[in-house]
Amino acid sequence: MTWKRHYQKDKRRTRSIDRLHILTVAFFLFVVAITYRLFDLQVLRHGFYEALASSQHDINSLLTPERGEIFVRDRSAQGQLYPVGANKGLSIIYAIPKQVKDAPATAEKLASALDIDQAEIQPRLEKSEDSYEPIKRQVDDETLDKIKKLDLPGIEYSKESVRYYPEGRYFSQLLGFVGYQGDVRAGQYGLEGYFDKELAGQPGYFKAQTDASGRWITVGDTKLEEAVNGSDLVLTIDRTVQYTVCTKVANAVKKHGADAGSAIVMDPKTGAIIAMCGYPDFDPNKYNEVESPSVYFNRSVYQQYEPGSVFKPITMAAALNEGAVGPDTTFVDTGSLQVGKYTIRNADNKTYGEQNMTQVLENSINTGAIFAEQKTGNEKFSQYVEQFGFGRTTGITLSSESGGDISSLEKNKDIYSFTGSFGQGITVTPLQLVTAYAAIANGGKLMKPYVVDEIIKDNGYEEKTEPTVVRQVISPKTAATLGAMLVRVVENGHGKQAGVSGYYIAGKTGTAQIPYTDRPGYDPNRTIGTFAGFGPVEDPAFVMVVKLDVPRDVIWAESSAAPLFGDIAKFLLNYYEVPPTRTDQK
Amino acid sequence: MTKFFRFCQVNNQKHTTPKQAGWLRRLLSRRPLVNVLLFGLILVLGICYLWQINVTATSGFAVKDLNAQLSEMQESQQKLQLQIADLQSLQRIQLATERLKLNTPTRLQYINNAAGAVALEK
Repeated sequence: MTWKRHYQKDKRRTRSIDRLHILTVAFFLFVVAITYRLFDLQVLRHGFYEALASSQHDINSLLTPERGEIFVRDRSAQGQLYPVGANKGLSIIYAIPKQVKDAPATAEKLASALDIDQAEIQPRLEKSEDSYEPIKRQVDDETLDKIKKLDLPGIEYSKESVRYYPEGRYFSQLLGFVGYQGDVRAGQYGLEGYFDKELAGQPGYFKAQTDASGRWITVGDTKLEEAVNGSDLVLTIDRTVQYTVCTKVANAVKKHGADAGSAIVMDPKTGAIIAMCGYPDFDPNKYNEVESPSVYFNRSVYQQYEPGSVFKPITMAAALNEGAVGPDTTFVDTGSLQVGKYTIRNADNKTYGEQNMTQVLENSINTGAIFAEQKTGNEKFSQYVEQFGFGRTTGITLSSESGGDISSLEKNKDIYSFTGSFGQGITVTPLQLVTAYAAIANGGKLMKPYVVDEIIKDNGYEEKTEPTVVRQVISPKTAATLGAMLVRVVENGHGKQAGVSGYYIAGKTGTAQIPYTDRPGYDPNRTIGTFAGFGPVEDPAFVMVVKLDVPRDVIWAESSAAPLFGDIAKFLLNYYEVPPTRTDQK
Repeated sequence: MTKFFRFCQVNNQKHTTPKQAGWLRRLLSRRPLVNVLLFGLILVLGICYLWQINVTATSGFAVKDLNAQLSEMQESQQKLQLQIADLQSLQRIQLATERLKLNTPTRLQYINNAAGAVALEK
């Protein structure tokens, strides 16, 4: 019986061992499964779940930099800066259509508060699968408060920084505006376009962890890269002069029924631009409400045109500096000159007889200019034109500057050089003209024009622009002699209306014909009137070029551009408190 | 082993003074006390660490609130500066001069004070 007991005992032990083993194996398999699942979640798919959790407890923000502002000064308030390009905090109202409960009612309330047509809003609110629909941008605080009070579900707002121009159209072509290139805000035209990168600054980055309330945890994993705000610009422009000049240009354009007008005022000693205006202009706060995008272009730097007789002093400067002629050098004018198959005549087909060089400028004699150019020589004349800065850009920090075209002079042929001597057959910009006249006013020294006086970086560092001498184009003696001759133009010639009582003002008119666009030749009914000059001639406080395109009531610049010049010159001399220098006129 | 060798061994055992144990050794030998001290130290340091983290976190919330206040004030300042710019704009001043019926001076007289002092004529 003992063996049987042992056998039964062994058998029971075996059964219990089997169940234990099975249990152990099952438990082991369970543990393996759990372990594998953990490994899969925490190691193999770590990246996925980390990203998923990150959206719940992480903040990742791009820090938008503040755009740099643009300032000008005013002589009446020394040391004070006036913003002409600033940033304004406004709001965007947007809808989350998924959360909008009653689209028609919401649209009706929004339409009333935002002054938009309900039919424009309602379709956006009815896009039930959409999670973002902008309703209106650039909403001011007053309107935002009204929207907040309505407490409409699904209607939210966010802040945006918008460019604002307090002086409106008076600085429009100089500043340009901030628009959009695709989805990106970008400065366009003028200073906003040229300095877009400096003004925009650099975005920053902020990453932190948040608690359950959404507040970021200081002791968590935080990464911060501060945004670098854009640099501020301080211009050389005088606010009062800019306003006055722009107003007078606009009034002159309207008075004469002209297509357009422009004016530049510069400090001849430094090259600093004091005022730069063009009309028609636009309101940069509403830059999209224009009839034609041509108003965006700064006429003073962009428009190149045949200057006409206002170029004659340049020809005379070359001849005087070479010693080829003097103020009293005479020639006999027969009214016309034959050059090959071409006949060049004086304006209005006049004949003057024996004239000296001063009278050539006073009476604006084309053949006299040709005489001076012939004495200089075609090649030398071409060199002087280049030395005065024509045919290339000045390098001023404004978008869309044109370089003009003097390539015809390089051909070294009489017909091109002769017509070039009185400003036809070549093209220049008003900026190039005023810079060249500034050289005459500045003892023959050509200065580089500039409009940005200081760039102030976000860290406070100031970059000041120093006046730059480009070259000595003519000798001081030549400059003084030419200045005196140009005073005679204003005293005795076609520039009488440009004069200011009590002062010696130097200048020259130019009535240039405009070439046909569809055939050779010039349109006799369309002219561009220019007056370029400076004063007082003993110690010039300003140099200026004014231009009126296609005045309808008068032909000659002495009746359109010259009076405008005189009006602005009078204001400038009073503004700068320059006492009269003439004893014969008070 | 000789009797002599055995005698030396016993004698040595009688006359050798046991080395005095060091203070650390004595301390560590008192095992329950050391354990309690170490545990207490860890507890205190842990509490200090938690307290410091808490202070830093709450300070962070305070800093964030202050930053939010600073942003609000900067926004207000910007709005005020823009208001000033608007009020100082030349177009506004021009309209004001028309409203106030101010005239542009047409005749200016420059006084030459090269002679020296000047006085108002009676």
